[in-house]
Amino acid sequence: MRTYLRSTPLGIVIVGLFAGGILLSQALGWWSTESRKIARKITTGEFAGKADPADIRGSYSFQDIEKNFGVPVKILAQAFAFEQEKDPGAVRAKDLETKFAGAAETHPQTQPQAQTQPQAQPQPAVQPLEIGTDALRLFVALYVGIPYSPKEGTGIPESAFRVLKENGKLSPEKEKAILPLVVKVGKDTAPSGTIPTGEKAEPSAPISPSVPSAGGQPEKSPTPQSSGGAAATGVTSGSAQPAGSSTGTGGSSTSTTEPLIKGKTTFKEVLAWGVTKAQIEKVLGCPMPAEGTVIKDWCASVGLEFGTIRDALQKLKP
Amino acid sequence: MKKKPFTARLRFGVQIAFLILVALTSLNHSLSSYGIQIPFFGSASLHAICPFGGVVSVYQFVTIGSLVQKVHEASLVLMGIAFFLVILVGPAFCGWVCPLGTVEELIGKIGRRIFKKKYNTFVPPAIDRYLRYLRYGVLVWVVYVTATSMKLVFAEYDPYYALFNFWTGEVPLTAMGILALTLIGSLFIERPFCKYACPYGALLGLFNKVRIFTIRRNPSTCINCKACDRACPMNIEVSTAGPVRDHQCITCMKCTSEAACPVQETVELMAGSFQVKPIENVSAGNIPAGKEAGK
Repeated sequence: MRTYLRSTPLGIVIVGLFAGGILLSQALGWWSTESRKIARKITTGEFAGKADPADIRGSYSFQDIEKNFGVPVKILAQAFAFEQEKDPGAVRAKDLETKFAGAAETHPQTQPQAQTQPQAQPQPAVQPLEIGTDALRLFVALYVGIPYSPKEGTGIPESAFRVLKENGKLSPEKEKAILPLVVKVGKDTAPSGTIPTGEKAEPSAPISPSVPSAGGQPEKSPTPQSSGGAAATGVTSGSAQPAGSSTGTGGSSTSTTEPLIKGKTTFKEVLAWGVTKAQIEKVLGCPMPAEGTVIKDWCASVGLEFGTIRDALQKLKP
Repeated sequence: MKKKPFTARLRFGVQIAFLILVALTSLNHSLSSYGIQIPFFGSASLHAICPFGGVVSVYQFVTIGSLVQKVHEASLVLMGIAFFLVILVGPAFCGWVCPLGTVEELIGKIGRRIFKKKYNTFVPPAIDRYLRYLRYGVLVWVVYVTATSMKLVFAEYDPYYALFNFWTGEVPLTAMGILALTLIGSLFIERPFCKYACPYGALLGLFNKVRIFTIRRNPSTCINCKACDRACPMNIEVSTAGPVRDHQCITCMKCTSEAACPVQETVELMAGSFQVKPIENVSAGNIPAGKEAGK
C-alpha cells in the first residue's frame, strides 16, 4: 500500500503538530519557558529546608530574593546602590554585573594569605574582583546566616558591607573574613568603620554556618568547612581550625589545612587521589556522574549542599 | 518570470511564520527588562524554545532528574514534537521550521542571483563528501561536554543563539563569529551550517534511515533529466536513488513532482513503494503543462 503526502497536508501536519503539541503541553502544565524562581532548598545539615543562596540565578529579581530568602528589597537596593531606581524590586541579579562593570577592577585588595603562613604580612595587590550574581549570593548568604563559598574573584561593594554591618549580620570573625572581598566603588563613602586593607584574613573557608549573626558571640563551627573556591571567605581565622585539618599543635599549621576540593574540582581529581568510585558513590548516595563533572556544579544540579559533600569527600583522602 | 510552484510558496510561508515567531518571542524577552511587550507574542529566552536544549539535557535529566542550566521544560516538549515529526516525515524541522535554516536560505537567494548555476557547487565533491560528517563530530562533542559540565556549552558557539540575541550584548564573540561565517558562507553554499556543522541536524538526519514517509523516486517513470538533483539544496543525487535515505535530506520537497520533477508521481514523499511500471508508460501526457525537463 502506498500513501502520498503532498506539500499542503505536510505543511498542516508540521504547523498542527507544533501548535497542538504546545497547547497540549500547556494544558498539562508541562510548558515552562522560564525558571519558576523558586530557589532550591538545602537538603542536608543544619540548614535543611532553607532556601539555598547558591541557587540564586542571574534572572532573579530583588523581589524574587525577598520572596525566597526574606531579605527586604529595600535592604538589597541599599546594599547594591539601587536606591534611586524607580522599581528596585525589578532589578535582576545579572544587572549588578553591568552596574559595577570595571568598578571593581582597580581597587587594591588584600591578597589572600595561605593558612600555612600565619605570620606573613598580607601583600597589597591589584586583584580584579567582580561584582555580579555571585556577589548577591554572598550577600544573601551572609544576611541570612547560611554558609556559602563564593567563586574565585567575587567581590562585594562597600555599600553591601556597610549594610551587613549596620544590620548586625557580621560577627567580628565574618567581618574579618570578607574584608578582602570588599570593593570600594565609585562615590561610595567609606563604611562606618574604615576598611583595614592590611588585615589578616583567612580566605580558605566558607562562611561558617555556626555564626548566625553579629552581636551574638561568634562561635566556632563544630564542622567548619574548608574552601569551595580560592576566594572563599573564612571565619576560621585566628585560632579556629578547619575540619579535617591538622591538629595545629605547637601553633604550626600543616598542609592538610589546604583546601583540597575547590569550586572547580572534578570527580576525576578526587579519583586521582586513590579514592574509589564506590567510596564516592557512598558519599553521594547515588551513582557518580561522569568523571569530568565539576563537583560543585553537580551538587547545584541535584540540590545538595556543596559544603557537605565536599567535606565528606575530603575525608576520603588517603 | 517563472512562477514558483505552490509547494515552494507554502514552505516559504511556513518558514517565515516560524522565523517571525521565534524572532519576536526572543525580542519580547529582551524588551521585558524594559517593561515593554509586543502584543500577541510570548516572551521566552531562546534556550527555552530550542528543541536541541532538550537533547543535550537528556543525559542530565535521566541521571539526576534536572535540566541543564537555562534549559526549561518547553525544550523537552519541543524535542518530543520534533522527534515525532522526524520519525513520521524525516527532518522536516530543518526544512520547514528552523529559523537559522530559513535565514541561510534567504541569503542563499542573493548568492544564487550572483553566481547563477555555479551557486552551491563551490566545494569540490571529494572534500564535501567528508565534510558532511563533521556535524556528527560536533554532535558528539556537544553532548559530551554538556553532560560532563552540566552547562550549555554550545551557547558559546551557537549561531542560532547569536542570530536572535545579537542585540543583547550577551552573545559570545565566538558565536557571533560563527554566525558571520554562516551568513557569508550562505552566499556561496546553500545552508552551510546545516550541511557541515549543525549538531541537531546531524541527529535528525539519522532518522532519514528509518522515517515512515520517505522521498521516493519511481525509476520506471523517471526520465533521468536530473532536475531533482539540481533542485536539492543539500546536493543529494535523487536521480540515482530509489528511496532517498541520505542523512542530509531535509524534506524540503523541492525535488518532488510537485516542484522540480517534470513527471507526475515520479518523485514523491510517500509511505510504501511505487508500483513498477514499464518505461513506455511515460508519455507526454504525464508531464504537466508548463513543466520542462531539466528546468
